[in-house]
Amino acid sequence: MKNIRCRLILLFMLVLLCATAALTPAQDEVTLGFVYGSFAPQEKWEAYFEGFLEAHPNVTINYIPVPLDSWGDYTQKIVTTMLGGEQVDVIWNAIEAVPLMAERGVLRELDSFLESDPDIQEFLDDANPKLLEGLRWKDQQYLLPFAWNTTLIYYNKAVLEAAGLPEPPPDWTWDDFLEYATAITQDTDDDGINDIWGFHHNAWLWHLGPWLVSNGSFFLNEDFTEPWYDRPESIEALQFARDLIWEHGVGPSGSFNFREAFVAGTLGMMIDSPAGRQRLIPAGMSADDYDVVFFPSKSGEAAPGSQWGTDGYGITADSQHPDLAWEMVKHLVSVDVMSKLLSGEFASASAPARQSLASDPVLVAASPANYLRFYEVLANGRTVINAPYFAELAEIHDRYMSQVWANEMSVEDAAASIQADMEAVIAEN
Amino acid sequence: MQEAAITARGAILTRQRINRLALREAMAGYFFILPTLLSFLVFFLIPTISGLGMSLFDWDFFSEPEFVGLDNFSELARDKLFLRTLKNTALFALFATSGNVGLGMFIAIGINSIKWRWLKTFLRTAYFIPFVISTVVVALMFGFLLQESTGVVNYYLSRLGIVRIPWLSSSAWAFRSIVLIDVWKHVGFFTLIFLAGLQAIPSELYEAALVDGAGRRVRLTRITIPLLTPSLFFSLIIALIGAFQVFESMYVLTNGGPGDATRTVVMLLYREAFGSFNMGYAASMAVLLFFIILALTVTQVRLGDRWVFYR
Repeated sequence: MKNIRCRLILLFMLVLLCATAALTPAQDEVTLGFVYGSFAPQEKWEAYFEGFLEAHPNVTINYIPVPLDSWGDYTQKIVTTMLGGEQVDVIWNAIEAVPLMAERGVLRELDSFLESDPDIQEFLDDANPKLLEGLRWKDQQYLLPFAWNTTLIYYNKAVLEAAGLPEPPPDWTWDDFLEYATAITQDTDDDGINDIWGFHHNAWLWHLGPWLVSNGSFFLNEDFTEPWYDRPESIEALQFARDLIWEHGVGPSGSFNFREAFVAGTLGMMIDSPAGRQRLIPAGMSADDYDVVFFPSKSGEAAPGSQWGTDGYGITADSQHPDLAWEMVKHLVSVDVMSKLLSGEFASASAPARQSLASDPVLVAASPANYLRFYEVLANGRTVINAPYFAELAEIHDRYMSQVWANEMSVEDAAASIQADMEAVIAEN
Repeated sequence: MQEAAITARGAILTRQRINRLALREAMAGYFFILPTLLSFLVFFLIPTISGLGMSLFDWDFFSEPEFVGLDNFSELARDKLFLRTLKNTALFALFATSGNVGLGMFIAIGINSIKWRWLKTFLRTAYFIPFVISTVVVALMFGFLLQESTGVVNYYLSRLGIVRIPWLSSSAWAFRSIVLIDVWKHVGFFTLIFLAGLQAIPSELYEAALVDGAGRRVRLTRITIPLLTPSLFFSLIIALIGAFQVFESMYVLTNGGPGDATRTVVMLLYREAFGSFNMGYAASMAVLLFFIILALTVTQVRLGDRWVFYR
């Protein structure tokens, strides 16, 4: 009996030894955890690492997909994943998340790498300084910019032509805009229901921000410590945006597949970003079929404006291999990788952060004629809300503006409620 | 006889041997239930106790938890948004449970009265299929169908001359739509429970009632429904517990809006825990919801003694 027990113990120890040996990696083998948005399949992200893995044969990448519904939600899921014990080294995230992740100690500051690595100077010279600045928090760099977005009004050339409209001028007014939207909106079969809509927008921050900027206001002040919903310019812009649907009837209410309608020719104008082309091209729309124009302003005299956001790559504070993670970040912002944004065939089709790529022939060929207008509004635009309490502010906006969009609340009442609730959140933080 | 027992075959077993056999039998029993017991401990008991403990702390995931006693609960009582979501949840539970259980029972009675076996099988399967589809898929599907301007449902309604309904974009309609979707998805499950209950009712009772001249309505109200009360009782408890935990359909379809019209306690809890990282506050919501469900279930069980008929 004793003999059997001894043999069993020996066998168990042997199995344990083998298992340990099998699980222990060779000393120089490293796995880096990389978090990405699962809106694009993994193979599209894997394409970004061509060259990096060849240069670092000892590195294996653990791809960690995170669903991206909103930046706040995405960031919370990343933090929860990390708190759940997943080893994450490099994160792809957006400007909205920087304050929260920096304040919570999730991200490592990159200034020490920037100062000690001369190779990065070439990128710093080429990257748009506004984007670099946007990804700083409390005087420290947390992400290196990769791509950026802003919004303009997309118009379907064929729909405008059918309505007898010339292409809109860049300095158009709200009245001009309303004339265009009214002319496009049509009930083609006389059944009392519009079949072609002039314009579509939602109550989202991303859709309403440009209306505010082009009227000399925004959701909050520059450092996001004071809501601006009670400013007359804000209320006026929100009222105009709301009236397009409920007063003038040129936009559909409720949920609406606007990109599909735009491609199908049942929507004349919509709001979208440079990344919008990625969805239009596969749907059969070429860059010649549509173009982009600035948001109209009340008088037509205001400088074209919008809001912009940027994404980038950063290193987690608890990365076990920060030096290798830095090499990975440097690779991800290299010309080779960033060039993959241009064709729209990889994970993202947002505008590249490197200024030298703005006039790249591949980008020009895949973009509408007035594509450079996106760059013009970047110069005059406001950054999207990026404060540690971003998610709370966004939720307050959505709570009340969704009621305005449902025609259940007036713009004045909603603005007053948003103002009060946002002030409370800011005071609490 | 105190020291030994006589087996059926006449063999004499000592008490020590009996104890050893009993122990072995007990060990085998525990061994068989070990996987279930472990999963119960890991996925239910430990999280429940942790949640109870967490509700007494102010904790944001990143810093050290701070003991605050019952502060989170007193804050809940003052939180207008929480009270609104509690009301939404209670109303949803009321309508969804009534719809699921009531409709499920009458569909089951209808199917049971069909004489063609193939039709019975077809209808039973057809009603049950939505139950096995993921709630998120169901929500996405209805999201397309119920779009106000381009949805299929409104298209056909407009063909009939009915004005377009803001199914998901108005506060009043969004709530009703989500109840309807919930009933569409779950009614098949309750139909199946009632069908099983109907199979268990002895046919002799109906035969005797027929001999006594009882009509269809009398047979329904005096035999079928009373003898279905155990199934009804079970369905009510299950439906109510499920309804109080509703999350996915509202999260996908309306994200709680417009305003907070379709925001439920679990949605708010999720936002507090994983949006604002108020883990203690979110845990206090979970604890309160647990006790509300527990109280409702205990009340139902107590009241069940008065109206549930077990043969």
